[in-house]
Amino acid sequence: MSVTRREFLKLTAASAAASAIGSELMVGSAVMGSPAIDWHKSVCRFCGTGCGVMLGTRNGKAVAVKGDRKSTVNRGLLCVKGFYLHKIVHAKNRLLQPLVRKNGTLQPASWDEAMSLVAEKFSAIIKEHGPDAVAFYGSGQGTTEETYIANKLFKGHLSTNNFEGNPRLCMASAVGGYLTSFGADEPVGTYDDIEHAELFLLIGSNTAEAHPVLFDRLVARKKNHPSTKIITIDPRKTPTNKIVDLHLQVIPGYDLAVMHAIARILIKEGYTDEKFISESVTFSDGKKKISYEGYKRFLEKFTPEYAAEKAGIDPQDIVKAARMFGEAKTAMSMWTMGVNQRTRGVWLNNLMHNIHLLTGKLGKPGCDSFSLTGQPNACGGVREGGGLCHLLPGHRKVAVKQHREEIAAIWNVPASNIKPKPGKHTMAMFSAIAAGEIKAAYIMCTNPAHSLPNLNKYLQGLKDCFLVVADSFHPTETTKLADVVLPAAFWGEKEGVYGCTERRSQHMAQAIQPQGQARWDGEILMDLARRLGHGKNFEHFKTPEDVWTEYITTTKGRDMDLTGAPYSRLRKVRGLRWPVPDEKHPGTWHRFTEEDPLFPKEKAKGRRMYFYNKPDGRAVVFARPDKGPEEPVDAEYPLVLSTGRVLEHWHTMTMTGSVKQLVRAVPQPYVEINPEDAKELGFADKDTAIVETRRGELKLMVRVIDRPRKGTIFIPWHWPEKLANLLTTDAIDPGSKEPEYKICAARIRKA
Amino acid sequence: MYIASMLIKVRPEAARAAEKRIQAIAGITTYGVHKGDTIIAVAEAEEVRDLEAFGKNLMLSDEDVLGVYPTYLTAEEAFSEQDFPAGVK
Repeated sequence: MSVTRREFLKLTAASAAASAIGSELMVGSAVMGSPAIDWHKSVCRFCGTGCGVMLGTRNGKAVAVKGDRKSTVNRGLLCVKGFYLHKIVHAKNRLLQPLVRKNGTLQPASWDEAMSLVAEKFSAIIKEHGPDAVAFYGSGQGTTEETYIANKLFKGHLSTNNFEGNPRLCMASAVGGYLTSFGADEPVGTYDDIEHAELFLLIGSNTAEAHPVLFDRLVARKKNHPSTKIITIDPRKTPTNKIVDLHLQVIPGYDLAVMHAIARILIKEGYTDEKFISESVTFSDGKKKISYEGYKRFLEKFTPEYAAEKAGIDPQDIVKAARMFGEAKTAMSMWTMGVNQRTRGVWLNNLMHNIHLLTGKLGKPGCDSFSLTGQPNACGGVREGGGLCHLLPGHRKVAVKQHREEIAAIWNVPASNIKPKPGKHTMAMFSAIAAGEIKAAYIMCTNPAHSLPNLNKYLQGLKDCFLVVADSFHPTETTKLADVVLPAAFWGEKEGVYGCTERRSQHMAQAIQPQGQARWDGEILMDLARRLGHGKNFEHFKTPEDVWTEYITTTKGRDMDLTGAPYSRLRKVRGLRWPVPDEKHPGTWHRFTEEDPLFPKEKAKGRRMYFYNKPDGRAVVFARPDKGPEEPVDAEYPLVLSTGRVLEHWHTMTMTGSVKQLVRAVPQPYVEINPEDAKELGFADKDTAIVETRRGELKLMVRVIDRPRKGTIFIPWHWPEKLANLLTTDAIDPGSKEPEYKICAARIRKA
Repeated sequence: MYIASMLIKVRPEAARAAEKRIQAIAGITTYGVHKGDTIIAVAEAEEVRDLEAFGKNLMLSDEDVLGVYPTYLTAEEAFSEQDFPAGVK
């Protein structure tokens, strides 16, 4: 019996699905097997979960994609974003040749012409205005090797620390939280804790849509252990609520008081781990050490009633949440942009860590305070690789003389080449571009003309400066403004390493050749280095492996030691979680415990956890004030505007339509309004509204839906034709310098 | 034509009913409920964005659907005749 090609492909696809869950399909007498495909091990490039992906190629083209069953992260599953993985390699808007702006328009050019112009401009600007007149802005989507080369060129050879990456806009507050609370960036635990947790506290995270594969692990945990509880603290109702036991739907910006109130109840009702506190915890008000008693006094103000009034919720729900957290033997907190993109994002991160430190629910199976990452290599290339203005590779800082000397020795440059003063953080960098102080910028693998907050303030500066953009796609909002656009190899067309949320570094194979004239970003940067007279120290980088080999020497003996993770090993395994100090080491589940190869047993003297990057080995519980948002609502702008990263298709059809019909229901850009607000303001579903903030206005379709709480509106930020960031505030967290995308005051009227 | 398989995770108590609803969607073939809460489905669509939208819409509009997880995606046009085993026409 024969089958058609389509039927055969359908059966192949169905079999792959069955095999991902260890099931078998009864497909009758169908001819089984699979079409001739070469499979290459890779990592998804969409979010920070780190899902293993197999990219299928045939005759030099990407033809298929499937989840990697051997990946311990996703076990063969992908999320809907994964549908795009191989398709975008050959997308119609792939940039296939260099473009140079001539007479106001971008025109095709040769690589030599484009790179000569870039080198000439950068040289002239540095000569006339000094190295700080140029800047680099990278991405949590570039590979670690690419960020490393750029870092070495700009900080080590051009001598400017004006070097940033877009993770500043999404996870800098998490970094600040980990550093101040635990003394070292990145989580204590890993995804393995999910399978041991009795309770999950999700805050500022729509896990179901933003991190679906992790959401599935929560669903599975609940299915296998029905007593598992899930609490969410979020101003919006989202699909995550489908598995939630308790939802604290707070007014945006007032959850710090809630976290303090939870801590207060944990102490008052005896849920604390006093031994752990006495051995491994200290207390601070942010300026000086305080006593445990002093911390308790600080908390007195945060009664459930006080916090509930601030946050607009029921005080009993706060009590319930605290008791659920306290009674669970194990608990894991997870959060993302709703916590980080705040003017007090670092403080809120601290308060998340506080409740784990007070209860000792940290550093053991099922217990962690775990920040989820939004980009595939924000942790690896940018946080670990030192891709921010104050950092150097291997969790080092430019301000520390020893760190500059160590890195300068590896880079083969005088230590004086690396400046001790941090460069301009992202918002300061784009302000300096707007002010004409930074005259040339190299932007790699990111789209700031779409993603910066309060965009109107920065767009003219980007037009005026000499802007070089290396990207795989054109047009983007940023390439439209560029003087030179360089075609970069895309995912699947280059080899490299991504480091995901759980400290796991994973190797991605090159599966196909770059499209058109596209080049690997590392090669483009080394070409620039040569043309600027710094080629010698990059000559030994013949392949990405050479770059990685040098990079991991910067990590030796550091808290994020990757010495035991050379390419030869990474090619075989599904990633390794640092610290991994030698090639026999399996990687580390819990840091700061005896499992951690860097754990100093002698200093720890029997303590379960020793935070070795803190002088006294103790993590810090912070008594931070419960500051609200930077721009609270007022009579003039009475609504809270929040923006989100999730593209939500929605429709009003029944599921009896076809896929095609369902898709036709994909909406135009919209603003979500709570039904009560809509009634008061006289809006009906699909009306047109003008949403206005102090920075701009947008005309949008109204979607009346019981998702945002009353008094708040929500706009997805994805549509280039309706840039939500024209409305958002660029106020930043004073510690992390991360903008408060999530909250600003707005008003709305009929168009 | 794009062909994609996916695992659709549903509430166990509603699995059979959910499969019936999904089965009724044109362009979708289901291959049973597995492990009590997982429907194996294959979608055929002209555009990848159709598949993404389908997945999102299913998640957002069906209360019993807890997640939609692609496992394999390919396109019929990516292959020529010799790429298939004998017996496939």
